[in-house]
Amino acid sequence: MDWLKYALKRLLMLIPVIICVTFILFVILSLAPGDVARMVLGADATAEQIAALNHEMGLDKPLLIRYVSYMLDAVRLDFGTSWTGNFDVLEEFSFRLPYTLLVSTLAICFAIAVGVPLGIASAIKQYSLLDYGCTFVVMLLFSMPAFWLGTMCQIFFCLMLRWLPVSGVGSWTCYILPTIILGANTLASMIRMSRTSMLDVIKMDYIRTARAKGNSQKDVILHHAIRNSLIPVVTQIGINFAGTIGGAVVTENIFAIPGIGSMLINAVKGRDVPVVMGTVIFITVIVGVINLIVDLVCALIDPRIDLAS
Amino acid sequence: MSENLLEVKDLHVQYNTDDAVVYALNGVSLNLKEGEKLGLVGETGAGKTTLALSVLRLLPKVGQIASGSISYKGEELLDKPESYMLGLRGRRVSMIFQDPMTSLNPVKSVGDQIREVLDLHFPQLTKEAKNEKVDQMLQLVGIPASRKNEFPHQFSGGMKQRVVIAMALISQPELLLADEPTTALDVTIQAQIMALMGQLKDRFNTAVLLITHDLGLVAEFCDTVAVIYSGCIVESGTVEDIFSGKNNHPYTKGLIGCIPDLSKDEDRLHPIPGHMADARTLPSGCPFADRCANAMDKCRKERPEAFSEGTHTVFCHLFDNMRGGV
Amino acid sequence: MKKVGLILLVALLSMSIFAAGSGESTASQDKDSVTLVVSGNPYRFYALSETGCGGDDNLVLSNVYDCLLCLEADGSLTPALAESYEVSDDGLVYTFHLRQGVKFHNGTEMTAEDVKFTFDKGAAGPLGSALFINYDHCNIIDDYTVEIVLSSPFAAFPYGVASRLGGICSKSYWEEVGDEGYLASPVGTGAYKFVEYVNADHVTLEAFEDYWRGAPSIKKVTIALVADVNTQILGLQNGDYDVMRDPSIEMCQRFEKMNGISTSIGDSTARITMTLNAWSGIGADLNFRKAVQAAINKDDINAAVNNGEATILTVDICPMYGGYPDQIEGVPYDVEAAKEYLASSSYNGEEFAINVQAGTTYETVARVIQAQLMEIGINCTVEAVDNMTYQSKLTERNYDASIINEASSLIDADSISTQFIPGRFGQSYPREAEIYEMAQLGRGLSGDERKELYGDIAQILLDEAYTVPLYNGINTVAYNSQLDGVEAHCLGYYNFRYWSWK
Repeated sequence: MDWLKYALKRLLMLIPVIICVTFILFVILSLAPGDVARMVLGADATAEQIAALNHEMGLDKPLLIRYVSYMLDAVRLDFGTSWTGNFDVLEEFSFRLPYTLLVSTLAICFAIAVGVPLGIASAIKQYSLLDYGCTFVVMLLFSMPAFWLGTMCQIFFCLMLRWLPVSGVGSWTCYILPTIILGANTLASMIRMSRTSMLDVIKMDYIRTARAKGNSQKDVILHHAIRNSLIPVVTQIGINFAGTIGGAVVTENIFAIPGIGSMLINAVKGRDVPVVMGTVIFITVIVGVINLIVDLVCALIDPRIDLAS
Repeated sequence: MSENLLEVKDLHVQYNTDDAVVYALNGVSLNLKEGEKLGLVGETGAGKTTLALSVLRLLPKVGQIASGSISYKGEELLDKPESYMLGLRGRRVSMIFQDPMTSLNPVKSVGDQIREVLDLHFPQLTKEAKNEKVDQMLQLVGIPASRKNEFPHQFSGGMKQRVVIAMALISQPELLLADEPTTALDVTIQAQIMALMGQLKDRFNTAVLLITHDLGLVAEFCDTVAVIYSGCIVESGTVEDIFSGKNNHPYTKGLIGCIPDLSKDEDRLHPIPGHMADARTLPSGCPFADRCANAMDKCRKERPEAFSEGTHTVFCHLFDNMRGGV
Repeated sequence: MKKVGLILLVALLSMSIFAAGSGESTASQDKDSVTLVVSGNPYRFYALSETGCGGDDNLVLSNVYDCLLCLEADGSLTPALAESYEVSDDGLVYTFHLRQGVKFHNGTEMTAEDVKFTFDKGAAGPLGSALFINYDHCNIIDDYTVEIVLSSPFAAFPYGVASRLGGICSKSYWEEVGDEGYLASPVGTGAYKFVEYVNADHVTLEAFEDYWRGAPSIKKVTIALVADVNTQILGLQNGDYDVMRDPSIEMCQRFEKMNGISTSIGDSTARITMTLNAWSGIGADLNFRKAVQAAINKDDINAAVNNGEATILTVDICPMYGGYPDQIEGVPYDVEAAKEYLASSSYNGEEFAINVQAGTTYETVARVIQAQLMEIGINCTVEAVDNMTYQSKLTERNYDASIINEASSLIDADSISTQFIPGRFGQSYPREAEIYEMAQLGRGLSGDERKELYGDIAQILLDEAYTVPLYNGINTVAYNSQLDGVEAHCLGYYNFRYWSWK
């Protein structure tokens, strides 16, 4: 149960991270200009009504007290209600998380499914047309920002070809473009990473040993090279997954997907502190868990990794 | 002659790199009989590994067999398709390499890697039969069978090389190409490994082509010797022939002279002055001419021809007159 | 092997989410449903709770609830739940005669009890003082007659009746479910029933077959909430959406050139005005303010921002407001006069910053003004900030000048007083008390008397150069040409019951 202990240790380490992040965030939000109560009640409200709402939201207490009381509530899984939207933060988050998680997961899977084989093929057939083609595509994908690529795809696939809907989550076709846009960066990463890794592995001595045993080139790649070359790729996937959850913000905005990215953006614009704080805590936990899973998978693939150390 | 297990005739191999063509083997011929232990001696860069890789057709992409023939048990290998070679490698002709630290796949258990040879070449065996054979082999090389699910990084260098030997010999091949198998190991382990190889060789009657730069090892282990310099065989014969001191090639003499003699009281070693010529140019004349103390004009112009006395063959102009005729 | 397993797991996960999350497609598939796309976020579908309700919420409120009177797209009032009404001579008592046989969505009948309940509760809530101005109490005469009594006369009271606060709610239903239940599941008498709200995704409304005006033609309305304007435009073009709210003027022109998309442009109830700091710094100098006032070329601004489509305002009152003083002539654009005013002021090259919301058309307005002011030698800059910062600067009155969009639910000249309510803002205009008193007076007047009074107020503002009214706001809507009845509404919402497919 080595890995269980390791996992627990890692999860516990998340706590100081969360405290640090939330405190900084809390301070920044408090310093930003803007009166939330006025925003909520509208311009017609009187000063007394605004003061009353401020008092109800606890905004008239000092910063540290507010922070501590927030964190104490958070520990009991009470993340409060949105200031501008009248919804319970935890409830709303659990409603929206699946969408973001789904799009992110699809994007990563798409990137892996297309990118890793392409990268491996490029490495095997180095300097071929495929290889140069992939390098070109990688550079292209890395240089195109999501908001531009997203709108371009919308114009092409939704307007000109009428193949796909432009937004929303009504049917499975709605997920195709967001997956591709969100996955573009990771796709480039995967192609490059697996290509480099495979090139390194092919030169290794144990590959030569494998051939001397009578393995064909195909067997060598499949049984010996791939698993070794995937080790750095898995680590890269972990890094990219976390980035994808963040990058989902732009994609969700363009394609009107009700995910946590758009919730976060609106909350920041509206100085909706409970939502921002709650979302950041959740995202920190998710990213932490993803990194943990990635490390565990790495340890699974590579017997040289010793979790106990 | 058909009794030869391996016959290499006038093999020319080159590497076509981006900068230049490197002439690795320039007309190498040698023969190996069943069960024979041939030591291929030469310094770094002489072409020893290239020769072994050529036999198994495992040269890198830039390598090219320009001309010559390699025949195994009477069959010309250079004509055969890759599928034939796949059946040969690991089954009838095995090869072990120099550095045990990197020769094993780090993510597979040693048992799996040894069993892989059986999976490839004896697919008809049952799982239990294969496991039994693996256990047996491990025991033969001196590794407890209980360790077969451990990974390479959990073994020492010497143990790793034993695993490599197990992998190479489990299919009881007819020919083992051993490329400096003990160079990376310390001396005591070296002795163990060579002893092990000797035992297994006797048990399975495997012929061994031992590639090394260590003449002492050759003297102890091998039956026959071939000395290679700059991609050319300069001398070949039985161990007695070579070490008798009679009719040696100047290079061989120099090699033997390099070995420090504990019985003598000397302060300095006796290296061979100079170094091997750049393999990017084809040698004209004898490849050793520039370093040879006995070099004549002729040496630089003409390649020497073979002079044989029984099993002992030398390629040197010094013996031209003895050959008789011009 | 393991990779395959992982992929399968993800596939299973996605299947389950699809099963849970897939509702109807946002594109309308048949000829009795419509998809409207907006970039706001309506979330309060009941006006009487402590959280009040906002302009975006009106998109839903105006269709789920009926008021006693209905506000039409052009700003006029028509009878709705009240068949008719009379006002007493002293202007204090409004007697409404209610329509009979009007059903709520839950089947109960609308009576005077519901009207009294709505008014009492609304007046006590956060929006009461703004929309039910001078409301005192409500008397039930009989099941279908109510008397609303004011504390003092207010000519624009009917607009409050027709506002979002005036949507008649069911008292019995409220007694059952309370504010929270009402918010979660609203019930009104309107042409459409509330079906569902998926946060930040869409709101669905369904036709109410027993609607007292007859069941509406469009049976299902989906309001899609999409933040990105480009996505809205593309969606309208490719048929995912049928109606798009508030496209920019340029977009409207491009839509007009396209087959299949029509646009409608109408005046809104908003005044786009530049308010000037008159209480501190260089703003306290009247000559400086008059220089700014004279240097602004409203036609240029209108051309640049609205393509000339909007109506230029001479006073800080929209022409459609009740009591509009059409007798007042504004201050003409006069660069020479402006330079003279500036010379006789104490201006010494200080920076003059215009506070505006970033990324909006008002930012463009500010920039045009900036160029015009720089022409006469004022060192003018534009401070384009995010919404929250902009609002807080506005409230604290921490600016040199600000571009504001004063939309008014009460379509009445009384709105001119919103900037002069004592104690509302961080700073006060010097003549604030005077202006506020005059406005209060105007509430009790009528006819020409009223016009004259508001004319006087407007004149004060012009003389003191407290504000520079620019233009009457415009509302736009773009829609599928096959739709009938789609019109830009002065308050920015739509009466879906007018819509039908050709």
